[in-house]
Amino acid sequence: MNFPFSISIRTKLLLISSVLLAIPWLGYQYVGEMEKFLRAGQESTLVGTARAVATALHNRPKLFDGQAVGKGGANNARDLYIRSLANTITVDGLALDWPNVADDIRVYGPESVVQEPNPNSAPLVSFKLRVGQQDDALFALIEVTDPHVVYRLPRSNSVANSDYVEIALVSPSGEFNRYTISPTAPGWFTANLMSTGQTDMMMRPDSRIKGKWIDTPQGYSIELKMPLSMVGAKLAFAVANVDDPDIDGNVSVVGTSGVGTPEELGAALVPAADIDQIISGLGRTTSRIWIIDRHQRVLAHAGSLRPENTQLLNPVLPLNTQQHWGWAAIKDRYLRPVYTFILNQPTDNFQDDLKAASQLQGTEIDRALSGIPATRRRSTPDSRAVILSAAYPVWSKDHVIGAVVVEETTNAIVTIKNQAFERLFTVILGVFLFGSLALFLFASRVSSRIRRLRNEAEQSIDSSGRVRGIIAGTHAGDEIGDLSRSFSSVLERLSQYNSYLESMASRLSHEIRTPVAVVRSSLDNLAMEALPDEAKVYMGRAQEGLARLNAILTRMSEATRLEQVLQQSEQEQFDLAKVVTGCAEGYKAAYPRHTFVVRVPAWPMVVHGVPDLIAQMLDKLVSNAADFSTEGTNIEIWLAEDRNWAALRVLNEGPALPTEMAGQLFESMISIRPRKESQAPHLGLGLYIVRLISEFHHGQASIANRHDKQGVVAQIMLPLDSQLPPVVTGAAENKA
Amino acid sequence: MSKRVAIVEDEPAIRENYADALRKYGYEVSAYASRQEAFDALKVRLPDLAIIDIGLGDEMDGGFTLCRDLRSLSATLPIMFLTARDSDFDTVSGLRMGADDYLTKDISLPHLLARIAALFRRTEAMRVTTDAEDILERGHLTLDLKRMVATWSGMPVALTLTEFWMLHALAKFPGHVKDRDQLMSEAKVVVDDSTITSHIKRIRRKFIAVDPSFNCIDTVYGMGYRWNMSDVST
Repeated sequence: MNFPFSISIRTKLLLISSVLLAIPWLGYQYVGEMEKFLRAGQESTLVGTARAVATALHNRPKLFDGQAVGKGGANNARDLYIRSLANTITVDGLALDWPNVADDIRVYGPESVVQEPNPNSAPLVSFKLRVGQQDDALFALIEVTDPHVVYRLPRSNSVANSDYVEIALVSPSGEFNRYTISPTAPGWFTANLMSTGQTDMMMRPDSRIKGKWIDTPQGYSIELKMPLSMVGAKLAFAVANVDDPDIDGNVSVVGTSGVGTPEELGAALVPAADIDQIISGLGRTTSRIWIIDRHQRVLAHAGSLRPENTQLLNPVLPLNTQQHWGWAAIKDRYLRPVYTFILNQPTDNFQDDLKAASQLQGTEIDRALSGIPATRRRSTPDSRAVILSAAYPVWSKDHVIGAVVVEETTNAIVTIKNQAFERLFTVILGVFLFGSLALFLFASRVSSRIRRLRNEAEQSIDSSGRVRGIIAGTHAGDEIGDLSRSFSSVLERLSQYNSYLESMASRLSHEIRTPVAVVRSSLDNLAMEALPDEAKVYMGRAQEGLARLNAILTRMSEATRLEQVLQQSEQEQFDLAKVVTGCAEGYKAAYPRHTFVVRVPAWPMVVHGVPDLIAQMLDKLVSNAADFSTEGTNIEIWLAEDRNWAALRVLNEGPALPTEMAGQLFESMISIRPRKESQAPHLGLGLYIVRLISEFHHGQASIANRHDKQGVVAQIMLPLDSQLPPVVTGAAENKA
Repeated sequence: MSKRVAIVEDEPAIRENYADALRKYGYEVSAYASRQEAFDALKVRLPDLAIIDIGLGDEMDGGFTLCRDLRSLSATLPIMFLTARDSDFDTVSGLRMGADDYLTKDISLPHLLARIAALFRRTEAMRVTTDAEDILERGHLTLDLKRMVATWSGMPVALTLTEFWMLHALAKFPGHVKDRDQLMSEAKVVVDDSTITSHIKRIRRKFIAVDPSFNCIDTVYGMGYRWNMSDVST
């Protein structure tokens, strides 16, 4: 209690138990480690997948060569990537059924001039080209921006005086062929094979290349279809613009590449059907496999980053509270929103930057193409997901001919991690709740036991140090039980010591009585002898001293005798007013040097107890008052009713009490009397007896200075027994 | 023939002092230090009076035992306890054992001699007829001062000497309040207030045992006790 702050045991225990908070941290670390492990696992799985695919492709250079990659290296601008088309294309000149993927649409403008324009040339046009393949057919959509569309005149065999589109290709057999499309009007068309010598002369229509020409607000649009088997390693598209059919040689040509000679043509990159076949079986739901050649061009790909059934990955299941009760309901209703908020939930709704790429880039690919398998982790452009890609080189003898790239999102891992976190936190939360509750209960129990023990210990000794009751030692086998038992035994010993001390007076009086008897009998014997006068003086003094010693002995035994009397007394109902009146009468005779002022109510004040003891108590109070009052002054005895209590006050005039002694005056052997010679001995037992008697009657004794500072007032409060009529013992007063 | 008094007391100084005083007074005294020694001697020849201490050597209650043993030898032998023990319990026990008086050691020798004389007088008086002037009559109460016997309506009330003297002090002057000091000096004992109170209580109880309607001893609180004269008229 003297410490500047005190912490209860309960608080301490709870503080110490906060070490438990390390558990979530450990759990977090563990899950983090697990995630690392899973990532490493995923990486090695991806590398393994890439290696497996690469293994299937090793030493099969034809698969890669067959794609007619230019021997001089790739030239992006000229090369055409012929993508596989997922949906069926209707040849109608409209772009509606084409996949709207920016990567697939190549725009050719003035920078792609094929034929240097002369001053007479018509302005250059630009066009958008889309190329794709499906079911062994090649589709192309060419949207030309040409404000002035000039159609070929019917019966003209030359295309030089009209707008036309040229297709140049090298067939699989190595033949260089050029075809033009220059219809006389919008609508269905068939391409014409051009003569090799004269560039603008149509040889004959080739029905294999068919399509539709429609006018558009910007110019015109051509959609065509041709068998893929026509196309060998090289392919080029060119758009020629003629604004005035009457002027010869005003043609300006924009193309994917030059169309004049086979060498000018760009490569036609057809996704290899063989490779497709190999990897189609490998396509998994959540991983994407790319096969690229040495020039990082995509030869084939399979699979998708997005799983088909996104529900499986979505941890936020729809709530169905009707089927959830108890813990599950709490978890769903309260915890899951928190987890969803805290944890970064994976989503499949991310932006895929490589969805239709024709060329892949990245460090892992560079390294793979240099012969070392590598992985790379990258965020999607919208940062909603992380994609892991693993690249593995494809070898042909000692050369890297390409690489296999396998991509996968880390969503599965994030999901697992999140689920682990959720489970971990749920379990920890539960453990915490129960643990805290258990700890709290335990701490409360311990502290309440200690508190009870403290209260018992405090109550077992009263303010004056007397042992009031002995703690019943508990049978608990722990330290508190031990403490309680040792308290109990300490108190018992203290109580024994106390009772030894209390019986000290009577023992002492008993022990002293024998030597006193020796002295007395000797003196008495001596007194019977004839003594010289001198000796008689000493004899008298000795007997005087003996008498005083005897008085001391009597007083000493009085208190202990009183305690015996208290135990044996039979209690009765009596009128306190009568007892006080009777006593006061006696005091007038006993204390002739004082005047008694008595105020007692006329009605009976019934008290339960022993009237003799009350009289004895009043004797002590009055004797005390008389001893401390100035001679000739009044001693007042008041008896009044105070609610259910009888207040008995004895007031005297005289010196005030020393304040520091006020609380101890009712103790045994405490006296503040000034020591005077030849005065009757005082052992300070008077007020002690008063206290014993008043406590025996369930009352309280107090002594204080009077408000007017003229003296001291002693007050005894006794509970009134107003329920029963008075039974007066010794009917002296009313009969006298 | 001088009276033979036996003193059983373990404290040599007291034993010798009392013995000396009694011898001076003309009694024939035999003194014993222990219970066994005393009993062995006394059962051969009973004394006229036995003065016994309660604690004898190692025997805490040796005096009580001796008293019982002596009482078994003679129902009329006057036995007086003279002890340092002053608790009510011991007093009551001693008197119940059949002792005729119970004194504490703070009594003075002259008092003791007076008590002894009184005791002898009572035993003597039991044998001779009583003179009229030695009879004090107060209503139903009759006090035979020679034989120190009290009767109530003719029925004997067994009082000890102390009680008899106290009762005598009260009844001698009916209506007069006797305070405790007066009662003590009458009874030739020095005890504290509560002992007087318990003596008075015992006297009342003994009378009530004979007559339940007895209420002749009044407590005058703060002053003492008095014999209630209202009884005389009935």
